Amino acid sequence: MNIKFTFLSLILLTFAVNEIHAQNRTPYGDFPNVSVSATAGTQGLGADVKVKLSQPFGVRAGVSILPFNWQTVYTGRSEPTDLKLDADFANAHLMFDWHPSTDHDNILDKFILTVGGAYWWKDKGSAVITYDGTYKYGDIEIPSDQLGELQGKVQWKKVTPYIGVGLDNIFSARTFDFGFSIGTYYMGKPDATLTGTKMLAANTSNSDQFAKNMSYYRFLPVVQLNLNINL
Amino acid sequence: MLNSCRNPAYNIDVLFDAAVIKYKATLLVTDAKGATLPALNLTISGADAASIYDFSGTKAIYAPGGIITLGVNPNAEPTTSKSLKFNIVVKANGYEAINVPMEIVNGQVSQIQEVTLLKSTDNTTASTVISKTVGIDATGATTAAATVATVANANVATTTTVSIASGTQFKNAAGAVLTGSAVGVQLISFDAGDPASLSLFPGGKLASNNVVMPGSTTPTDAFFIPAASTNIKMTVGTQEVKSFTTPITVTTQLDPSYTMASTGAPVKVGDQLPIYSYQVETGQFTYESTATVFSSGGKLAINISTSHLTIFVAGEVFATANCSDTKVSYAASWLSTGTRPVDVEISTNSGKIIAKSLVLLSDKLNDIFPGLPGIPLHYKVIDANGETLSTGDLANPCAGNSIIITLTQPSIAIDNITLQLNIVCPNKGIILVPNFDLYYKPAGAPATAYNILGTAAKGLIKTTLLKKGSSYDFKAVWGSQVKIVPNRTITDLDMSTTVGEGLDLGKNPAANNALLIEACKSLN
Repeated sequence: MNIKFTFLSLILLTFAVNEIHAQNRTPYGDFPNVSVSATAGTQGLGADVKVKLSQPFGVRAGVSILPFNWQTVYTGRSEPTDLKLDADFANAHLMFDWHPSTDHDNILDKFILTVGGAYWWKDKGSAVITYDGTYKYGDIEIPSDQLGELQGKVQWKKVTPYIGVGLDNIFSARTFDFGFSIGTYYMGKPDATLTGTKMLAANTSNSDQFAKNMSYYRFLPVVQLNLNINL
Repeated sequence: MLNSCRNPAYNIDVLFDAAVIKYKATLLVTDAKGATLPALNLTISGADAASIYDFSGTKAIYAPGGIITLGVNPNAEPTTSKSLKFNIVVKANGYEAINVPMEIVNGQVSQIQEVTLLKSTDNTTASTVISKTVGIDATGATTAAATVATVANANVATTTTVSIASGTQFKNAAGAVLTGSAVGVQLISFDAGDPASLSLFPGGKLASNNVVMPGSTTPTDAFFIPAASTNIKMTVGTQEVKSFTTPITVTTQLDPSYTMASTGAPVKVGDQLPIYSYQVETGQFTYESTATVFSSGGKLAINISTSHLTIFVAGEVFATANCSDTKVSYAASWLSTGTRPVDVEISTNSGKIIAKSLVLLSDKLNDIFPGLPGIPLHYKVIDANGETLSTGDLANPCAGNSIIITLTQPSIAIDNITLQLNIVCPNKGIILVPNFDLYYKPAGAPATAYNILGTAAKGLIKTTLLKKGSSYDFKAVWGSQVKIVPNRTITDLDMSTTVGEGLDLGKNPAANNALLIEACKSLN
């Protein structure tokens, strides 16, 4: 899953929606109005197909992919630990957009409220915790690679709801415009497990604490920019 | 990215497998007469000294109550092609120093050595000592011939005599002649026929890997079967005498029951016995000369003429450098999963005990008989209650044979008692208890009565030494600390206990709470 896939999807969707007909002509334009979006934000890179059903209402379907990793050194209660976090998120989502204000001909018309949901075919993360440095058992030095590591695995729910707000058509030209949205998925309480290797193999007493720590990670905030191409 | 105020590693202390050190060697140091020892001074030396630590992981070696627990750095463990060899020199104020050679072979994760320290002024059941001063003139020379001799007693019938010629001067290690008013002579004579002299032999055992044999300058492995041994020390003022301008003569009487292992015949006038000297600082035996046995006053004796001071040993010596140790597997199904300390004695055809070791027996335990000479020998396994559990022959202990020793069950009733200590630290859950040796004695018995119970692995020990309904004092040693749990009654076959904050601290809450605090201290 990478940028290539994203653009390939975009191209395929462009061709796929070219055949939508049966439009209604209104003072605000033709409906249904189809566009495709390329998205970039905290839920990753993605592509949407937007169908504007009427002036207030629209529906979007698309995919987003977020491969992520992060590393830091964290000093725990008594020992410095090196934390590596890897996350792999990919979802297919369906969103319903509502413009609450449609007749002011100003920025209020651009405001949208979105509700929807996603199916995550990838929504897991792993954390690897190692001792940062050389551990001393009495005077015996044990380097980190001999000590082993703690491996935490986290898995969220497959189907999650979304709520958010945004602005549509912030800047538009003839065939394309920009928008952004901000919202959050509720991912639920994850299943989290912690195992250890080598000299950390019997570290079961930290498993509950890890699960407790990861239970705070329930929301996936989305801050996203959209490039819409009208078809 | 997911939103949270909590770092995934919050409140996670990395807990390490407490069994960092896999190879352990325990030395139990006691006074020859059972008295309380003063503080011990310990030095590790030898080829693999750098790999040896206190079992708690520190380079400093501790000996609380005479218990030394050594461990091997996990990065330097023995392999199938290389064992670890080192020495531990044990000194104490007022005692003869002892240099114990140690070897840890691949797979030998645990061993116990009993070490006996001899107080320099003590007569024991297997040794006598005499201290005397001999006057010297202004040049440091004796003004008349002098004799210093040990006295026979009910325990030790043999004596050693040192004869110093008139005009003899005394030199220190640097070779400088010492001057003073008198030379102090301390002479210890050992009864080589008494099994108790085995632990008083240089190094604590008759096998050595540091023996310079006749015609060689390179130390090698050898096994001694002594007919006599003596320890001679001289001082002028505070300086130790190491050599003389005129050789002194040491006349030492032989063990009257000594049998020549090479011929099977009792020692007699005219037999030749090699003489070896020993230096405690290096732990090395060096061939000196060969003496001819003669008779004096109805007792067999030999003369040693020497220009230097040391410990002297007279008796047959067998080279063992090309020997392969006998591999032993103990079968004791009656033990089930429990353990029980037993004594293993090795003796010659004539009944002379030449090796003795304490083994923590378990069913299917694999062990070795290290360093034995290539002569026919016998083994005997003796239970803690004194019963013989097995005897057998070793036709060629040098051939690397594998033998199975099947032990009969002792006649006394055996309870298989499980002791498991789990420690729950506040906010941490169950922590891992490192492996440790546990000692015990009947509740209220004197402190010198502690014996080894066994080794607790991850807090668990299964033993057959305890009896349900009896009360015991338990002792554990970790680094320089000694933890005593007094007066614990064995009420059940399974005495497993979990100590933790907020948990029931069992029948001995004060002691269990102390254990809890001790174990959790290092985590905060």
